Amino acid sequence: MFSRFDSRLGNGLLYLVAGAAAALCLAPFIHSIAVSFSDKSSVAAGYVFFWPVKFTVSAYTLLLNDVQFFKSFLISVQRVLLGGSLSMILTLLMAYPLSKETEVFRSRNLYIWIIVSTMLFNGGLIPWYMTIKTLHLTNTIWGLVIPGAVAAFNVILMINFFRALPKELQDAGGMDGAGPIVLLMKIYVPLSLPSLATIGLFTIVGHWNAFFDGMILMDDPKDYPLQTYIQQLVVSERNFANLTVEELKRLSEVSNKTLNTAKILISMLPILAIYPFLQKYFTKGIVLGSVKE
Amino acid sequence: MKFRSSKWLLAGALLTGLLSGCASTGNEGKASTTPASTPTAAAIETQTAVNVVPSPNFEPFGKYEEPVTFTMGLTKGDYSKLPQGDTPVDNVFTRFILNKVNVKVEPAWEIDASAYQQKVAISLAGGDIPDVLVVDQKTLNQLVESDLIADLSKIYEQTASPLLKEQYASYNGRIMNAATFDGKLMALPGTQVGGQHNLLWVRQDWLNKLQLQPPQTLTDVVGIAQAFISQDPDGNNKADTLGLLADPGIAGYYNTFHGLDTIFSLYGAYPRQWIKDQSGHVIYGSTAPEMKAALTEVSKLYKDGIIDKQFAVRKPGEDAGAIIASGKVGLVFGPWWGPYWPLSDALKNDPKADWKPFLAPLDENGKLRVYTQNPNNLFLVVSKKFAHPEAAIKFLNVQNQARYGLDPDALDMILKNQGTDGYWPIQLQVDYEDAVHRTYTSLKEAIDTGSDANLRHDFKAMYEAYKKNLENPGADPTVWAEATARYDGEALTFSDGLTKVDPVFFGRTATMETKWATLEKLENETLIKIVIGDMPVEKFDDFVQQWNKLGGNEITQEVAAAAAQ
Amino acid sequence: MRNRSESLIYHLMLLPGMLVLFLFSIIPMAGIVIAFQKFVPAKGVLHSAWVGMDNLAFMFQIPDSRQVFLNTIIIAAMKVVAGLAVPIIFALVLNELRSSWFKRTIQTIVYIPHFISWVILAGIITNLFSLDGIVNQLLSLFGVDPVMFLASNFWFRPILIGTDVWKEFGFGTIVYLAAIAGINPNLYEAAVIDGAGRFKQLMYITLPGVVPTIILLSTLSLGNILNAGFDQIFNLYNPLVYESSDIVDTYVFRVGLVEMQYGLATAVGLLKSIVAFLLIIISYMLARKLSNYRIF
Repeated sequence: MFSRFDSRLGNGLLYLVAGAAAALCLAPFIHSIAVSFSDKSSVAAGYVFFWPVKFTVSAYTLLLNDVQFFKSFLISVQRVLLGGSLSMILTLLMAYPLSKETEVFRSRNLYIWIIVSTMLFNGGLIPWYMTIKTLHLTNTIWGLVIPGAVAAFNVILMINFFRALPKELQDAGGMDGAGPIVLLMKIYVPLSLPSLATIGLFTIVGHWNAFFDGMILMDDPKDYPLQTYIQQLVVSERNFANLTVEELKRLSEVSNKTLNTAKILISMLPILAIYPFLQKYFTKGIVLGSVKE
Repeated sequence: MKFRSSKWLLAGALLTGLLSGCASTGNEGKASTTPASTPTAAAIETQTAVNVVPSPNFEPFGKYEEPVTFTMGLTKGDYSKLPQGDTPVDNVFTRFILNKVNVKVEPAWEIDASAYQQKVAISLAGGDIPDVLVVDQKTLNQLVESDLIADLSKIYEQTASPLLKEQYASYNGRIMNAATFDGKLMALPGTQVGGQHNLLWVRQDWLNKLQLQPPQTLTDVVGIAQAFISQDPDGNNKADTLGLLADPGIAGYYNTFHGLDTIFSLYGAYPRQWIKDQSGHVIYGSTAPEMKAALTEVSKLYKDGIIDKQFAVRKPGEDAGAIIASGKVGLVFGPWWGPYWPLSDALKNDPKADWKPFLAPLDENGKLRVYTQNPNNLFLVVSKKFAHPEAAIKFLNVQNQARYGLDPDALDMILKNQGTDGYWPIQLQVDYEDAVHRTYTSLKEAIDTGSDANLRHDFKAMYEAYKKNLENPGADPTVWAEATARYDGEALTFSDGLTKVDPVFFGRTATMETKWATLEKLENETLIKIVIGDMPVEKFDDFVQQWNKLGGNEITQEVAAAAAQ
Repeated sequence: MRNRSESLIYHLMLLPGMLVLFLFSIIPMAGIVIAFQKFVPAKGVLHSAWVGMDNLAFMFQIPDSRQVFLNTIIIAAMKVVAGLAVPIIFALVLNELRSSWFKRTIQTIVYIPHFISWVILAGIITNLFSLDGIVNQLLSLFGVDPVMFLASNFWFRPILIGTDVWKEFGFGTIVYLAAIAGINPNLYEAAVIDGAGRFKQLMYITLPGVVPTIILLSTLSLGNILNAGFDQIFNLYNPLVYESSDIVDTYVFRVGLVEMQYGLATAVGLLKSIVAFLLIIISYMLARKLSNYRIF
């Protein structure tokens, strides 16, 4: 009796905690949606909280006419597709041998420490840029994709996920004589769907959100990926106290918190949409299930 | 200060000034017409490919026989209104210049203002300098030190247009120094025009409603603030109106909104400015003895609730703008351009919001005490490797002449291309020091005579706005802003009612590089703490002592030496 | 024999990734020399003047270096701890939820704030904590006088940490959910047969199952022990709360990275990297020694 009551109370409490946390996290999102559907001057006056004031879709109509927004959007999609697949391949190729014990692969420690140090040390913007420029990768999509293709954090995470796999499966007696690549593809990958989904998500998010490299590496703003394009809107918006009159005039015409918020929201949509899709891999038992089949 | 520190990072690239405008009005029919005489891009390509070296040509408006092209690092501007296919370096304006002097620009790169400085640094570090570049003072100094840019002294004399020279001359010798090294002119300075000091903007409709007189003295201002706070000027039966807005930096940031500068100057204090005291010594304004009385007054205003209680946590600009827009305040300090932003936002929410500028608070002689700013802004430099440094100056000549409607061809071009927007790729403002007042004078003349026949072409819109606003005041916030800023605001910028103090130094000395951050932090903390009463005003003396000890003394000597030159 | 050929394949597998790291991380590390220079971009790395340890020494010589370093470490450490604990707890809470659609919805929602920049969040946070903001309105229900939270040196740090956790915990939860999903379900089945309740399953199966991930992420997050969060603080602070929130990064920013003091910025970066590297090595060794567990 008691325990059933306890468990019901416990359940209720869990739902309450989770629900409250979600409500808190939803607040800025709803606020942004309300802003994007509100009249400009009501937003400027701070009247808008969680519900549009003087409802209008003008921000979205304006957005539809913004050619550069969609151009940048496509560049970002391209970047995610290219960069995501490249990163995943490289990460898997690196994580597999490094997940082996030192006895099996003696050089692994050396590699590991090199990778860890690339995570911590960096030489700053200028030499990084010069390398990319020397390799003629500036002004190309590859400049956005290749330099960051190996994220040390993801590699290390993947190594650990691989090592957590049951030993007997790792050795997979049935596959005697199979080479590492076959083992990786036939055993490791299907066994690691939750971790692959995690790393994949991190990679996609990383590529989608990166803005600074786009700004520095692209000599023509037409080639900016989406977040670079967005960033410049947000940055210029907050410094208006220092602008000249011509710019203030232009700001009052062009800059537009509602429009910018609409752009930010639309730019977030793909990344929000992709997560629920990946979530099906975060289910208990999926690991073994996939092996049994 | 959080925003200040980024101020000139962005300002450096953003303060692009009057040249950035696009001359246009409606009528999109002619969007694709280009003057028949303009060579096509392909033709120019072939010409340069033949590699004929154009003869040097130093005439200000002399046309090269063969096209001269220079590369340049560009700040991303707003060219959303350019017709399809046009670019910042290929549009009606640049084609006009090409036609006129046979000079064209090619972008070495183009970048958003927020990363401009980094891109410049990268270019320089890689030894990859565009032919022409617009840089800040510090980069200019480094470029000179590294011997990478051309000496423009002679070329300036020969090639700069009379207009350009006259505009520089309007600064009475305050402008060229910063670009002159060992007697050599190493850059063309951009200018920051004067007259951007604070006025007091007041809701005239609230004054009328509460039957108050326009402010003159500080007592008047305080009286009005008190009335605005307590007598419910917006009539919503809630005690939700504020007195005076303030900036978390308190004062000393020229050309920004809601600083308390004119209250401080009333006591002879000029925080954050290097000025000469009565005995002629260079002193840092924030440490001057006059500060004490001023701080006493301001902290009393805060304590009495005259100054917005929450000013310390409001984001400069954005938050204050929201308060103005929501009609919660009827008093704010700010320059003449306030109506464009943020004041017209108030009008959009409340068409009755009739903001008017005043010279207040006045001193015992009935004058408003203001200080002036650094006339230098950015600098145009030319790489030593570029064979035709004069071409950049010519480009600027034509650009400036056209902007001022002094070139009949340009006027013709702009009128002919009505509906087609152009873009001036060199974002360097060169204008008269009293440019804003010149605008006002000619506008007033047109209004008084009732004819805009003599008005510069780009001023005609202001005249129209003025007339339109007169018919139906405040009905259109944009029209109201133009009329109020240009007519009411600008009228007060160079008026007899001002006493001006010229700061003697604006740059950075060697010791500042290592110690200024510490001193500025101390200064920011002390000022704001005294104002909100966290620190008694007596502590001001300790602050001055500490400030001097931590490097202020040393820096003051350096500044005095630099100012003496 | 077999081992050697296998090792060769391993080396080959690592080659493309290592090449990328070599080109874009290791070669550019040469730029670390800027930390010992008065770097002037126009002169480049080769011709800028050498200043030895001056840049590194600078941060220790400023009068408020104690305050700045303490702020940095306190804020960063609290963020690291809270940023580890909350996602673990939340992942465990989510794991106990039965309704799968509810779980997924919650998961997606808490992940949202990660994608909103501090510039935008700062505006919302400033509003929430203002005198007439929601927080003060709630407090007034209990008769508490309004507090200017963002001007208070007592409240500013908790707000920094709280809002940082709020922004990031949903994203941080993902790794743990993946780790939990990787736990062998046979273990749970066996536990049920043994009569273990939900709480026992949590304590004896789920938690131990994620411990390696916890250890790994704790170690890696030591890399952030001197990163107190520039964007957040820069967008929220004001001179009144310098004493509780001025960190190394904001200080260096005000010294003027904008003025291209690359030397100082690089030196500070190097200092952070060294500290992080040492801490990671220490915790690696400790884990090795105490539990014979190899983190990487």
